[in-house]
Amino acid sequence: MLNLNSQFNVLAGLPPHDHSALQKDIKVKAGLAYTLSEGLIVAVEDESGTEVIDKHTSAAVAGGQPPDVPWLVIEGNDQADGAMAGKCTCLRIHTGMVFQVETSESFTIGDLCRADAGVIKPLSGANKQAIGQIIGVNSSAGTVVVQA
Amino acid sequence: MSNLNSLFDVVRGWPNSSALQLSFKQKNLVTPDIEEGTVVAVEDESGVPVVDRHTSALDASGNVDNPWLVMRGLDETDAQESEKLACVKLRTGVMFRVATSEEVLPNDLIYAIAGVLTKTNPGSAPPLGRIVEFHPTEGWMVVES
Repeated sequence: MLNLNSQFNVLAGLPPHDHSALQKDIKVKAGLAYTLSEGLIVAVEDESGTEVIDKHTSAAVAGGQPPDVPWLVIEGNDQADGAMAGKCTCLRIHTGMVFQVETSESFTIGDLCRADAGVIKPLSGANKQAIGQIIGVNSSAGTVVVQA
Repeated sequence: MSNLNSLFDVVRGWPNSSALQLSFKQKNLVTPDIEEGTVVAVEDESGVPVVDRHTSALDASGNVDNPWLVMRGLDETDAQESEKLACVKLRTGVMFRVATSEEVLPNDLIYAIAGVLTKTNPGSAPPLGRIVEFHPTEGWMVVES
């Protein structure tokens, strides 16, 4: 939303005024060779008792197992304030939001989608947990709109 | 909510509180017009997201479905002008009252068949909510989702 030329945007559900989604600032995992930028799907991990985030890959659906708890980065640590704080601002997936994100994948409206190393991908036959549903496709701009 | 004599109401979670609201076009050739209190789901229509009446089902992948609740139907003037239905996403923290002809009990799980809320599971479907109140004489129930 803040990066130059970024196509990422939260269209609905963003706190405080359209506040359905849950927002939190979470520390970035130590030693990562990459930054976590806006539009990435991440998950919380433990780092010596501190909650930290890293890129998320959707797990398989399994009966009796709790579902994944993925988050969407809306301000990454490639931005000045995120870099200073060492934290990313995130919205929790599945709490009610609509966001637009760049993709090189081919989607159809109605498709469920999953996360693969933080990137949105179509839910394939791999029996992965969905993070949301595609409700908009702009092939020329290379973006999709996801409700989660 | 604005229809005369309608029992439908969103009790908690709207607007700008907990639930997610969005507007969608009704799918072409769907009759009759979709009204408030109907459960719908998003489909593709030549690249445009549209909604049609939803029947609860478990996705082949094992993931839950993604139903929405219509809170302003196409039978209302402003929706007819915009040709869009205002919807609240279910399972995002919404509590609503809707007319029913069924006998239900608080704590019953609730599903949708052809857009109508029912306690009947159409078959291995995930519930979209739970009954928190039922008024048999006036014929409405309150659902949390």
